[in-house]
Amino acid sequence: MDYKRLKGNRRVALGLAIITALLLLAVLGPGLSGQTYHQQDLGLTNQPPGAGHWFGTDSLGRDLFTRTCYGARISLAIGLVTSAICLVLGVLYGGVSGYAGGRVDEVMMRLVEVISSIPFLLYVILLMVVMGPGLKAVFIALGAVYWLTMARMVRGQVLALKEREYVIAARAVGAGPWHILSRHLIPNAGGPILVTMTLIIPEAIFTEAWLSFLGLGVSAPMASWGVLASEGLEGLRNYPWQLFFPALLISLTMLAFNLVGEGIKEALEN
Amino acid sequence: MARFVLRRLVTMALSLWLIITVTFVIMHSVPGGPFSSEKKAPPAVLQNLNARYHLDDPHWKQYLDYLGGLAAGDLGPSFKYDRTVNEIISQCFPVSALLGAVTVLFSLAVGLSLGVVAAWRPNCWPDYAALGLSTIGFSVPSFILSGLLMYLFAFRLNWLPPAMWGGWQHLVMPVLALSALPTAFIARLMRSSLLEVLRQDYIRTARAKGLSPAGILFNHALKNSLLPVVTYLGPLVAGVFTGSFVVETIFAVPGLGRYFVTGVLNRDYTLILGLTIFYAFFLMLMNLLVDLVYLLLDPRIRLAGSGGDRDGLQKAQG
Repeated sequence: MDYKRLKGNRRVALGLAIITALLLLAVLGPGLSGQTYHQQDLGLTNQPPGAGHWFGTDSLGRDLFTRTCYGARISLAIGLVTSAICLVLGVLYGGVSGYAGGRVDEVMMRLVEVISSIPFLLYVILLMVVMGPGLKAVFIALGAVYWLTMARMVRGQVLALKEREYVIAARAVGAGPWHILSRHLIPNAGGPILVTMTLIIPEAIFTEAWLSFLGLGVSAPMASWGVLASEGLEGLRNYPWQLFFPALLISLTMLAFNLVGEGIKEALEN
Repeated sequence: MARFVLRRLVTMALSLWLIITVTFVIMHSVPGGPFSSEKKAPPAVLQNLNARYHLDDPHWKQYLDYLGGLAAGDLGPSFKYDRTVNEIISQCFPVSALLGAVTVLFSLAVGLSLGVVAAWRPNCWPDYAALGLSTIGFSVPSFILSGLLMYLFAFRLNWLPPAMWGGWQHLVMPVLALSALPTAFIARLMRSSLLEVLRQDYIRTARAKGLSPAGILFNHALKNSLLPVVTYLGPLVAGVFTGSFVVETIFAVPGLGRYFVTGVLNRDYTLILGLTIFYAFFLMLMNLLVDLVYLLLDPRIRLAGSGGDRDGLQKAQG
């Protein structure tokens, strides 16, 4: 992959700048306001944004700026961890399926197809019940959905790459399948894998927000952006800022990771 | 042709059976049942309920009974709603399908125009404008978009009724909320595929023999660049026509989407299975249709075996 070409890509640069800003907000933000994310002040509920509370307060009088910054930690962690889970599972599964080919490939891919047709909520709820609600269950549930995308993509890449001369050459000098897969095929599929990883991050944040909307996200008093946004939706008519700030941050995050992913894709294609 | 369709139908039946089986197993391994979340019912009542719905039968018997009913076209009674699953689908699917049809048409109209405009003069301001619009479509989750639309049109401007179902006014906001993502996606697909086609030799030939730009676009380029969009239409139609939980909840649309979620939350076994089958079948049918349309659009494509990976796409969560 040509990293030099990425450097000049304005979309990637803009995306990375936004991501850096969001990470800074997540790390430093809660310290700036001098409030905690769970401190309630029932005398100051539903305050509009102002000097004391930059993003206003929610229906329990909690500082929304601090909660939004904590939300950034949780939402970004969800995106990154899900993406990492998908990387491991998807590359292993897709790599083996594509390299083995034939009957094995067909069975493995049919399995992927069946898994992706089962209602996603079913195994989310199953996992929540088995593992207890919390971040870990959310990680695993989202990983269980998105690794399929990665597996399909890696398999396609491996199928195409394994016919190349360098693979035949490696096989001719006696390299085993595992060596060929890990040293030749996967590294050469690195670009598309990176793109998929980048695009899974906003998808996962998005899906977690959707789960929160159903009340299946992280549990109180923790709050991801999804939790904040769906709380904000309830008071929309009178306290619209409670939706606007988390909505803005979710959208910015989606935008940033999409810009980076699309930018890398563009650099790979040209 | 007939053999191709027949072969695909057999594969579909096999996939459906696998999906039913796996869903059945997972469903019954989730703790709790359809009647466990009710207010504490006396044990005798529970026992009667379970007997009434055959929930006290062993799982294998329930499974076989279900398959038997399914073969006769009966999806069974819902445990939570006082209707059969067949009734729920036949009452709510038309609503979601209407909303879905308008959404698909709207996304196609806007998405294709944006894509063509962008590809016609790449890297000029129309291209950037189209790209910007489609990026926004990618970046805003549907429930947030729904909230913002509701705030703007219903609460601030008072142009549209906030949450009701009936006239055309009630279609506007749900359609906008639902079509943001597909529009963006279609615009992007169309742009890249049209760019690809415009680079081909036969386009240069057409230009060389003096055909007008519009003639090139409409007679030669458009048809060939539609293929990726057609592929995307299969899963899109299946996803949008079966409804969206979020949009239906926020705008009070009496569609099918909400049942996908409430079914699971209520452990309404027959409803879960019925909707899973309905959606999976619909999706596979759409993908088959897409492959047949492909044949019409592109005579170079030969009829081969399976439709590849597109058969199993996740029901869009929105």
